[in-house]
Amino acid sequence: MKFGVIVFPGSNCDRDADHAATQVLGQASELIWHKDTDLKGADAVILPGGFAHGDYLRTGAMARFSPIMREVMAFADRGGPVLGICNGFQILLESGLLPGAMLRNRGLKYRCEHVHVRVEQTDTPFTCGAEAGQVLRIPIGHGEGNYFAPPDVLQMLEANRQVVLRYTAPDGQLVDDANPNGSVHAIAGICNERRNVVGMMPHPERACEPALGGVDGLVILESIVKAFATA
Amino acid sequence: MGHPPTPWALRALMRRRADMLGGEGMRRMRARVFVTLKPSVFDPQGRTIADALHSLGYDKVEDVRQGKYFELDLATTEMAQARELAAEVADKLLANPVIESYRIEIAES
Repeated sequence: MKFGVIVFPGSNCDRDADHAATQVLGQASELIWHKDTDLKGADAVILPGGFAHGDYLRTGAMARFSPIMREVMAFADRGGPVLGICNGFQILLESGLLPGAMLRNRGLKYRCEHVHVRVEQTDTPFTCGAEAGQVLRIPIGHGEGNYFAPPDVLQMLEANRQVVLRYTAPDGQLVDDANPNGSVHAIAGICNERRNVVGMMPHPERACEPALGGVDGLVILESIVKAFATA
Repeated sequence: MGHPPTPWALRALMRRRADMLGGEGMRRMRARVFVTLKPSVFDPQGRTIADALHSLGYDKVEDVRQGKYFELDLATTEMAQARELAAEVADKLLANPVIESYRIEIAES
């Protein structure tokens, strides 16, 4: 299969995602500039982490209007798998592909550390290789990961099982101390109603080789290949 | 006729138009856009600023909400058009309606 990794001015995890796709997963991958207007035949699209357009105004606010986003939205509409990692998640929120918004972290600090997230849903192209309740140790690095949605939207997310990942203690228990940014319902990742678009704050591409200090992110990336093979 | 103007030609045209509007006593409009977090949304920056003020002894400052302020210089003399334009860009880009609301003031610049 072929990955398409979108490169915005200010993206800084694009090469990592591309490396993970080609060197770790052994798949084809192409970096796609944000001004491009086609996805070069990608079977899955990754919006990588970073600071697209400097994150001026709001995180992801301007990236949403990059020309390639029209193609990404059409791809998502066709059911194509789209993964937004960190800044990519923020872009998905601003573009309306996922509901909600990001606020500054509770405590205002940029948090760069390993966290634990529990896999809540396994019927997405990005978690189908994981077990429900599986706890993954994956790094985060963000200042604006405090997920917010109004109460009615939160209720809808929970009712539709759209919360894909939650911050938990290493044993999978929901405790407030394990929530690094104050996200409502300890949300670390969500999917759309159709379940083909997922946004997550932790970086699976930073935890997919032993040299990186952990391989728990691998299951997220391998899920994409598995989903493609069984589609 | 024929080809549409190139982007640079369009920009030059808009500059000339703006110069014309700006000169000869023609007034332009300035929109002030105040973007704030909705009351229901927690404002960690505002809270931290309030805490800092309390530690400086300003106990009468009960709460702080912080936000963003934009000044838009608009090439129009029509008050209604200026307001409409400012609201459009606020909706589209300046504010995120999920967490923020905005207020617009229009004045001659």
